[in-house]
Amino acid sequence: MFPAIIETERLRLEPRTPEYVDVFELYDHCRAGHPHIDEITEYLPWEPHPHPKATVEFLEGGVELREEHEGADYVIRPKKSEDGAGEIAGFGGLTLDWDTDSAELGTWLRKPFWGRGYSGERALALAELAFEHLDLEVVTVTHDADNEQSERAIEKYIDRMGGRREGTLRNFHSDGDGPVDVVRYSVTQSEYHDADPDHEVTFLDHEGELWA
Amino acid sequence: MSDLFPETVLTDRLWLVGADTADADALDLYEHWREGAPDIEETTEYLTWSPYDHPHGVAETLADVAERTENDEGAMYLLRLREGKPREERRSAGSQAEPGDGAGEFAGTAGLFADWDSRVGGLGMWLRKPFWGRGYSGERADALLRLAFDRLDLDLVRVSHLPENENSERAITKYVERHGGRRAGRFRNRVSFDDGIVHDTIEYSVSQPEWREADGANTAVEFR
Repeated sequence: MFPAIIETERLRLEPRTPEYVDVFELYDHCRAGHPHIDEITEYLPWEPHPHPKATVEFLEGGVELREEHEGADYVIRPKKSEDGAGEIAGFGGLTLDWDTDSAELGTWLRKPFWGRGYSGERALALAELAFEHLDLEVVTVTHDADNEQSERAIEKYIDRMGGRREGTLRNFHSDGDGPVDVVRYSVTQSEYHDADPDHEVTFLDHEGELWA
Repeated sequence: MSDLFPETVLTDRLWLVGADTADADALDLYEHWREGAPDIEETTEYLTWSPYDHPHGVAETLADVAERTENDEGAMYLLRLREGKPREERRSAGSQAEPGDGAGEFAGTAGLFADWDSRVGGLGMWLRKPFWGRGYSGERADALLRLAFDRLDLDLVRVSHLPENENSERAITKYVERHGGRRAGRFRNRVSFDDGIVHDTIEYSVSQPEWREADGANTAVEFR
């Protein structure tokens, strides 16, 4: 249902599975107590990992989402030309809602990889997957209402795709600190086609052959 | 069972009676909700559910609602008229409410369901066509906002309608404004209905501080 590898100009995306991601390497980035972890997770729907078992569960969750066709999540690794090439830069994926013919984008990046435009590059690649291959009608994304950094990144790539900001949904979900307002954005397949954003993306299977 | 959601709510013109009480009978309700019931296609056109093809489906819905009420997750109410005609009209006619003038008549259903983690209550409603255009939706909203904020201490009440549902848009816009809330916008592919069709929604919400500040209810409200 989903490609194994997605390559963009500067990034290589691989499945969020134990096969592709080293548990201990990832745990070191996600563990409670990591110097940047509270800043990274401030607006994210997950908490720092208390132990490596949580990291294993996170990766196995990626396998299950894929198998159930409920989501396609990828580890983001910078390509050779980039500073920090091959490292785990973060994760990005689609959460599928087949009933509403839509997919929601989600991502997070480690702090050394902030400000490079990776979020937009990954978003365009995943939107291409959602519209051209999964034939979904709408791609959505939300950010916490007070997360200005995500707002900037999302405004930019939603605009490139021809989509729009829809509005603020109050008390949309609840994290450890209580209810959170979110801003929701969407792009339709026809808006995406009309905008025809200029970007590079290649989908590959596990053997590295062209996918689909 | 607790009594977070009262069995009965009274407004100036309406009785809201819990659908988990003996007053809610699946066969009675089926007469109004079945395929072919008067105006049922029109009154459910923009709603998430479709007319029922068997009373068992209604019984299942009532059982589901009763379980949610039992679990303090929300309530559905039957809306009944307290009087058949407006008070002034009846007085001038010089008569008591009589059978046939609508007293006690079943006008529709309305729900309030809570997401306690997000501290949000969601409103929903279905109204029989003879009762459209009388402001009952707003009166029921006054009552359920009061329930959500004064009794349940929720932060927010949300409500939505399909973009093409102009009647709901008018009714909702009016009571949301009256209570100090706001329209959030149009959200695409937000719901899929029983028939599999996907719809956009127009979303609205009222916060507890907005509601207190506006103090916009047009009716007295009593919980029993």
